[in-house]
Amino acid sequence: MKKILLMGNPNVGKSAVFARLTGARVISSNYPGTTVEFTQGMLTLEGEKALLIDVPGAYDLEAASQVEEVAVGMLDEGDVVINVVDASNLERSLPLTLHLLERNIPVIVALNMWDDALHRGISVDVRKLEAALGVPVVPTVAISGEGIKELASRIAEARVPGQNKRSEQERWSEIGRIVSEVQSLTHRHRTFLETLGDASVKPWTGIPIAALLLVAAFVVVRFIGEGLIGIALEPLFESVWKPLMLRLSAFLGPGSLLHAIVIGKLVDGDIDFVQSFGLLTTGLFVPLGMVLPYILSFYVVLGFLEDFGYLPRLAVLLDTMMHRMGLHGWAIIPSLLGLGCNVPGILATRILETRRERFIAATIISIGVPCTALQAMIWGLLGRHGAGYVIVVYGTLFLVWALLGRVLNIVLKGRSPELIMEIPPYRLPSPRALTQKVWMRLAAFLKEAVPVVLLGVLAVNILYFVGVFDTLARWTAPVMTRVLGLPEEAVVAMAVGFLRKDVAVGMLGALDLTAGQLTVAVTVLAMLFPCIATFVVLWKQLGWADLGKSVVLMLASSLLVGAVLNVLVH
Amino acid sequence: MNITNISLADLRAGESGRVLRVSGGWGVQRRLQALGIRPGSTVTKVSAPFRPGAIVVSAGGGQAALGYGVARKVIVEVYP
Repeated sequence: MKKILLMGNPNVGKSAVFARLTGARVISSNYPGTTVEFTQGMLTLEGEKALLIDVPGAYDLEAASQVEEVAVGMLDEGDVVINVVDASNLERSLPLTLHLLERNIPVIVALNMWDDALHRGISVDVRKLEAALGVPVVPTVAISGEGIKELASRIAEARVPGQNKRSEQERWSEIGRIVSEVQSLTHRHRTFLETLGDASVKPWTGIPIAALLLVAAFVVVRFIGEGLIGIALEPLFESVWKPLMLRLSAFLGPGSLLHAIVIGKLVDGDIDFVQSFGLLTTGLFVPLGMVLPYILSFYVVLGFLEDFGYLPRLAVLLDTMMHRMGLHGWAIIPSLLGLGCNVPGILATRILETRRERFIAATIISIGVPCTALQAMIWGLLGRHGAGYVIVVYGTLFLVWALLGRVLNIVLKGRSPELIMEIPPYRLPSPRALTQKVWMRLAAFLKEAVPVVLLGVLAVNILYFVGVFDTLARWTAPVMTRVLGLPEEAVVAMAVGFLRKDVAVGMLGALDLTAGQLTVAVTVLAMLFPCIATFVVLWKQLGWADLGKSVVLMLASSLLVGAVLNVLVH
Repeated sequence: MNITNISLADLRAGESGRVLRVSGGWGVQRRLQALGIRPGSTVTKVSAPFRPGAIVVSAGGGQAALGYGVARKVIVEVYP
């Protein structure tokens, strides 16, 4: 089968072209490095199936980062390259194009973001560019689908122009020649988005903008999340689902094993969706009634900021702070992604250049960054006792995140590399693309998290029944009670946290803890051990040895912080 | 004509210059090149932080962020 490679600089819309050509749904954002792992999909060309591979972005073919190495390595396997070029910035895109043309592989160029270029007063003469490069050039707007059909139909015309290998100097002068020949600029005024873009990185305006955005993001996430719960999900569960479940409960008969697994235990003769702990009660209510609304609201806000192009600017502002933690500004992006789910956050650390940085970033994410599922449960349960307690949890986790990074930077040999990063222009997010991205992330949550929640609830019921938890509780009792000031059964929730943190917080909710105890418990739970899904990517990313170090840090820091908090809250 | 040669880190926000030389390793030079910062190209500084930190320049038709250490390795001739 024919292998088609989609190659281009970071952030030129390769993933959007990929989605258009294959009909597959993939995540794209307005910052370089969204695709760190290659994605592949099928498309049909003239009746024949072909494999399309979305190669991570690279500026040329001399691999520097882990991500770029992947890109270069894949070149040997492909049959055709679709080189995606940013029409609004030929000068930056052409080095890779020339590198590709010097290779012995057929190339076709997709001149993407064509609309954006026109908006900015940049017009490119496509015929002249075709002549200069010696390969077909097709203008496209991947986000809206314009030009994609023509691109697909002309893949067969891709060819090897047979250019000789150039020296670096020759390449730059060739690029200069091509750009001056094919590109014409019309004078125009600075747009509002450009002015805003510059204001976002200048300290006097950028820091207030960042603070404002942070507060706004938080308020919007809470507003949408709480709104959905209050208006839709709580009424749905309480007045539609509960009567059904009560009937089922009467039918099964409280006390039977099946009742215990499906409905759980009744609290004062009634179903309590957090405490009953049956598959169809708590097992559905936690992921759908408490967590899902926040997943939706978080990803709407994150998706907007991503597609708008804000994150790289935040990285600039935080560069100095991140250097103290052995990282550079870029590393804030994986941590922000981790606030949704630690798994994509840790995967995103691949964009960092050194092993040391990746270790620090992945470790502080898995210890100090609570995922949305966990946060939603913390708000749901601890929030009832007052926002102050929730703020203590967030504040503690933020301090741990920053201090742990600082300590690792001091302890580990080596130093942090410098930030060198493209700052993309601000772009108004396309509502269609944004909706699709939010939907994909929701679907991933439903597909991957909900079954694990159900499995967790089932496992808890069975293990309780078998009596494993009593033994565990007895062993760990000294640590739980003396060090953390928690009842010894709290260890069960901590153990369940290995499966799902949201389920674990739900279990803490059933323990009748004081607000102080709950504060200690959720903080320790957040830090102690990542959930199994995070654990697996952490292992893949770090290998056994570093994973071991990371786990020791988790155990030590969570117990230490738990003990200190325990003293402070009393 | 009054021409001074200084590093990008010392260039003031709003000022432009022509890149004279880029020191540092091959990897750094290559990545800067990709962002349009190479001997002969024109760069304009967009922002400088209060204290030494990452700066933003516009170069080669786009913008790029450079850590302080890298910015010091790029020597420019300031346009009067």
